Amino acid sequence: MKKGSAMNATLADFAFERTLKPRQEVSLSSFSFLFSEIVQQLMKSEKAASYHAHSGALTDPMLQSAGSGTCHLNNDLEHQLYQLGIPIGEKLLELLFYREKGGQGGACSSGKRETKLVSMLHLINGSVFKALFGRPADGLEQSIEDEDEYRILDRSPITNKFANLGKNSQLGQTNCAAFIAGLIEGMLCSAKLYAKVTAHLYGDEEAGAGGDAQATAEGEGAETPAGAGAGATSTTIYVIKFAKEVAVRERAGQ
Amino acid sequence: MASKGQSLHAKAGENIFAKNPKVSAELLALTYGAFVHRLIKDDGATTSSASAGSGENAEEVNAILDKMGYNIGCRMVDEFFAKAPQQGLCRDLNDTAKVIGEQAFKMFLGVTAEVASFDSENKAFSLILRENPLADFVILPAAYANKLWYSNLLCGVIRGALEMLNMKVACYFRKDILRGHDCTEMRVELKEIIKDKYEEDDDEK
Repeated sequence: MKKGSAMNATLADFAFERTLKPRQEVSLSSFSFLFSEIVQQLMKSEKAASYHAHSGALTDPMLQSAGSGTCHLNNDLEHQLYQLGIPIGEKLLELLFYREKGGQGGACSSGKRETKLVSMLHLINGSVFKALFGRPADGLEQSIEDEDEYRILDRSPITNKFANLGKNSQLGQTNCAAFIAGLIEGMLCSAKLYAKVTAHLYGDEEAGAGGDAQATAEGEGAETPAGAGAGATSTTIYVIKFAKEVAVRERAGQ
Repeated sequence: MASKGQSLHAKAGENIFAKNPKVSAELLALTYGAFVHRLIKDDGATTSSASAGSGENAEEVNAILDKMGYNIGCRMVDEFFAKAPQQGLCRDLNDTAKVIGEQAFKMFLGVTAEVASFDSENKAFSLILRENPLADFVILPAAYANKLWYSNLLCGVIRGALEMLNMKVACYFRKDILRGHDCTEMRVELKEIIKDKYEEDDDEK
């Protein structure tokens, strides 16, 4: 929400009043069109130099899933999308809490906010994804190596469904789900559960029988007409790494 | 007969809307808002003299939104016909206006726009939106309140879509709820109908 001055007070009242009712949905295609235009605009405003500098690193698919820091450094477009998603997540958190728990008349009288880490993640996994995309996320797991790290699986993020950046170009490695990663991070940080969220492609054995077999086994080979390329890029994992103080607080609180 | 035609378009729009996969309207609104916010900030950063909050880059932002909408509209019209294959030729601008307002808006945004204010020559009409899904949760800052047309993307979409159908139109906002008016009104004016040009083949058999 943008800030308004005193003279906009009446407009603000009006704006809140009319929009806090649950809004209907819009068609997926309008979001997809808008998103693809946003991506194009972001690409236009990028400096070309950043691509050439990082082209070497991007061609190695292993590097993608190596660490959470790598993706941000290497790919400016992903970073821009990620930055775009953060404020959205912050606002969505407020909105969804208001809708989910409080109810319109009660004005959050019974609404409780999640403060515990795991329950917040379950909330995101379930209700948030359901409210935004119409279906809950496909999996939530805790990483074995690192206690502070969790993963949310998403079979086909809506941002990636129709946005194809070209397989062979340097941009082919960009994961538009960085937008959703930013969204999740915005939500978590707004709930004071500071974390860093990154989106990674899963099942990177693209180009050939291996990728195809995996895609059809997961059931999405049927959906995507483009076969091998799309199958490999369908599943995304959001890696959520919580800050140290959050983890300490969680353990202290238990 | 006119009212039957109206409800046909509206009904078709609703049916198609119901069948399409959907996404939360708030996500759309917030995404659009974050992006417009970014455009305002970015444009302000690149111009040396103006600061981001002063409202001077509103015109540029309007232009960018319109251009984006134009690109979207060019492709959206294909999707429209793919989803509504039974939609035939429109007899006149009246029909076109109804199809846009009642069917297309419903299909993509889930709201209908009223068609109004046809001018005397039937070359212009207004689309009135009571609720604008793109402008949910938005308050325009004071500096931009009278310069930025927040939903300018929609104008571009209509312009692009109709241009793909050989109709050159000018589309602009007249009223916007975000500016304090009672409704959101877009004016669409038909400039010309573009005839298909057939070019001479260079190589002749």
